[in-house]
Amino acid sequence: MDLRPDTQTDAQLIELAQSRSPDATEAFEKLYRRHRDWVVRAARRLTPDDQAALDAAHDAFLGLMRRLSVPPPLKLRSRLTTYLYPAVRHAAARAAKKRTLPRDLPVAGPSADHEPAASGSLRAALDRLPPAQREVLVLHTVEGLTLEEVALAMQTPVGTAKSRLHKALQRLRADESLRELFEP
Amino acid sequence: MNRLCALIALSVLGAMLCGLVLGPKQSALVQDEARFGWVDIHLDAGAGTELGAWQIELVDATGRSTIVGIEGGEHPAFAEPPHYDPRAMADSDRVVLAAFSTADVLPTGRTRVARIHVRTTGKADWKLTLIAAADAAGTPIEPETKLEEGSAP
Amino acid sequence: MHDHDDSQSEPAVPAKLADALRQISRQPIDTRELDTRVLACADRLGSPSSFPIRLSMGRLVGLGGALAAGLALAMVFWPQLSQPRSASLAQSSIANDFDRDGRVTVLDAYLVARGVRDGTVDPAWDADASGTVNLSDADAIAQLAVLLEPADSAPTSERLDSAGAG
Repeated sequence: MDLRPDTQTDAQLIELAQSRSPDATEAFEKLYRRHRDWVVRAARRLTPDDQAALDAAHDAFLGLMRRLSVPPPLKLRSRLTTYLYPAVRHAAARAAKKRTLPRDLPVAGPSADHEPAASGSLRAALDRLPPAQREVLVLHTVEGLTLEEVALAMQTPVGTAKSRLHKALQRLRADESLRELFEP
Repeated sequence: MNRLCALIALSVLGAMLCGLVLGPKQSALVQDEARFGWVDIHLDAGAGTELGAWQIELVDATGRSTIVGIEGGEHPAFAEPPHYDPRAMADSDRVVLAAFSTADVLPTGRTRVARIHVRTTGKADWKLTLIAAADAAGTPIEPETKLEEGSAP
Repeated sequence: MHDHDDSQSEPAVPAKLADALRQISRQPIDTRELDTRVLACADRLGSPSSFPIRLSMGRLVGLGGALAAGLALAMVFWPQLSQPRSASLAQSSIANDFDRDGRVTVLDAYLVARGVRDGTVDPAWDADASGTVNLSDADAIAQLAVLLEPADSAPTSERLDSAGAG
């Protein structure tokens, strides 16, 4: 079996990972390495600290692994991230419940010292957004999901995702401190 | 000719029925939505009997569940998570739990002795079996067992 | 309730905003430990009975401890399984079946625990071969009682009847 890197689609790797062949492990590892950072970032936005994010990411990947290890075979109909994201959300919700977190979790993770000043305003503005709007905005803008994929990942209608993105942008646009980010 | 028409009609009807039966499964396969929830294990030793030790087996007969966490019970004597095989987190639609307490105050009557957090893809069919239980003096008893399922919002 | 609005067109995200969002969202997190935890389970996919273990940080430590305890238990109990029993154990046909009900359950552990509490212990209850009988022995027996058998072996009830049988 050819397992050269970056030559196989997620769907092919999923199929291989379910094959119970010696290549299954390697296929899963490729999937993991391909999507790890995305999942960790997504988890970090939904959890209060890095450790909780790693735990949520861990749960998401083990959920996938378990899903791949039991019938019926998983057929990938969309990007794998849209499959992983609900698992991350569940895991993050569990973590939030355990740690009795505030309802609105910070979206952008820890701040970095080298960030430009505008980033602080943006971070604060993001935190003020309703979580669902923030999620759509980040998944679409930062993670590069189409609105259809965002809708799938968040298990909502596409129109809802679109509406949430629209409202999120409206709110940010109304923030004077973010004016420069909306200039052409 | 009439027979042929009837045969065709029956075939179409059969195909539609098959579609009704198989359709939801297929879409479930694609969606594969997992739910998180919990199973509470309650034991009732009776009003005047203190529960000192218990051991149960919990199995999801459908095999669709994954055990993702195990918590202790509501009474301080059984507040710590019970003993379980760590492999239950792997082959995890099944677990054997056991706990004992030598505390001065033990629960009487109905008490939740453990909460099992689970991830299920579909409708689980939990079977709870009492393996052993004892009162405060170590005398074997047969408390009533009860399962209560809950799901995360 | 979802706020549907299928009719509107896809809103355009200004490039500067998108850049700024990407910048604040891409804080690196050290994933080396995650790699270890996830990939440690990945080889199960290649086996016929593959079930990944859910390993949180605490559980990773716990599982390591449990494995070590399992090994220790195996070492402790193996002589009892394979060799003639002590006089005390000979009263039962099953090792660690201290209450002689024909199986090893939490009741055996409870017997030991109550004995420790009341100061009435039997030297034969030293299940972990530490030289003393204490609550660790009770815990060891309780842990033995909850061990799952391999999927293709006997049901729990039968296994408990024969657990520790020589």
